[in-house]
Amino acid sequence: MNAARRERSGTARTGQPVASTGYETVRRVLADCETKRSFGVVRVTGEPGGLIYLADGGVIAIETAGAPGADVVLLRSGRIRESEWTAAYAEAAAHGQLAAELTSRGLIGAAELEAVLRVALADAMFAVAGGLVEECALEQVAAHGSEDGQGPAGTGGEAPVLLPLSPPASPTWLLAETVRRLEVLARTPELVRHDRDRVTADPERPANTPLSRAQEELAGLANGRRTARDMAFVTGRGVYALSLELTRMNRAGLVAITSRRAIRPPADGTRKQAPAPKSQPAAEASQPPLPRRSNPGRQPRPGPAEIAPPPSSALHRLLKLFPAATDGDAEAGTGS
Amino acid sequence: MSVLDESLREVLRIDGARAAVLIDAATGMIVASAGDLSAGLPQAAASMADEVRAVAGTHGLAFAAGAVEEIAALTEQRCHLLEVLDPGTGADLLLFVDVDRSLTNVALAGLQVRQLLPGLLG
Repeated sequence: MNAARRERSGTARTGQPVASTGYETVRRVLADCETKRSFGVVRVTGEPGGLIYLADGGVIAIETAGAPGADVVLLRSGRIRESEWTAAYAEAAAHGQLAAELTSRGLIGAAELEAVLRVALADAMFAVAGGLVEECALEQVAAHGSEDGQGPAGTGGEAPVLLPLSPPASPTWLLAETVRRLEVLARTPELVRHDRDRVTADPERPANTPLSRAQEELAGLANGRRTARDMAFVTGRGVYALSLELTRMNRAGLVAITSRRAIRPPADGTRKQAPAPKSQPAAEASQPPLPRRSNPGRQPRPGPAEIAPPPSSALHRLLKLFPAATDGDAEAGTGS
Repeated sequence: MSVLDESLREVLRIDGARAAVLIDAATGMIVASAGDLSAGLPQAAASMADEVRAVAGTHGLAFAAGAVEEIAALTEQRCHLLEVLDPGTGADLLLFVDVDRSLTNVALAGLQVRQLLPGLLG
């Protein structure tokens, strides 16, 4: 069994560190699996962590809370209607071949489905390998597996995932794409981080500001409680894509980062070895402060710690009922 | 071979087509590729996605004349075609085709590429 222990991928503005820690741990395990043409599941623990399903050394699916899967992408984007999906799913339950069922019903082309799966896999790998990685190990090694990715992972031959990619994606390709994304983000100014930064739409935005349909949708979702990752699950778009889109909107003054989600520290004692000040959690310590925009004609926005919920919100009403709850709330804004 | 790779190989049957690349418009990621690929393709793909976004933004402001369908760039020897695939799909995709101008007529190559588009993701 392969096992390794590391930490979060760095987000340095320049140089190599963007892919030197958590990413490197995952890369080493997957490279070994690719060489040995392994079948099974690589379990990555951390934030967000996930399960990487392998067949013949390639990746057929990734389950993670960090990025929407292909099923969410297809349904939330409206590419496949829910009623059609449900019917295909019910029919596929007998043979476990949902992809074949979707294409045979004409709901999506085989090549398009493959493209959607590859895009979703790359996004999930970015979320997992680019996140906080505590441990990474191959487990549930299967004795046999099929070339099309059905029936790996030692689960008695039944398909362990809903929509396996066939043929499997090379881990080398997926990880190279992860590195490219980390490098792009590392040199992006006023970045809205997909897993941490909660954004709020600018209420002072003139009504005639031209927005694309996608931006309009994101502005509607930017209520100060959602990160790009949250919006990805709502809209069925990728977390990396939404991080870039929200960054562009942040730069244009259409949204602003109003609080940051705290990343839980590693559970293996790492935090004890390198304690961080209480006001600045470990995951926060290495990060640059929130970027400040000097935009003539606009009032400077309050920092995350000064943000109060809008008077109409349920949170505001709750805080009025329980004023003491505002103290020590780790989720209420930990920005520097 | 994957279904996607087979579709891209169909594009390479066009006279003068040297490479065909499917790009995810939202991320600039290369989803699949076929043909004679240069080393700098990943960065170029990301730039092309940015280009489409820039053009779409400009047109949205100035013309409001519908979605961008194609961007063509010509050099003395090459023709680069960037086709925007059906935006109704779950993933917005671009098809980049590198055409050798010495082997074909640019207009004909463009027409042949566009004829393949409806079945490309089938």
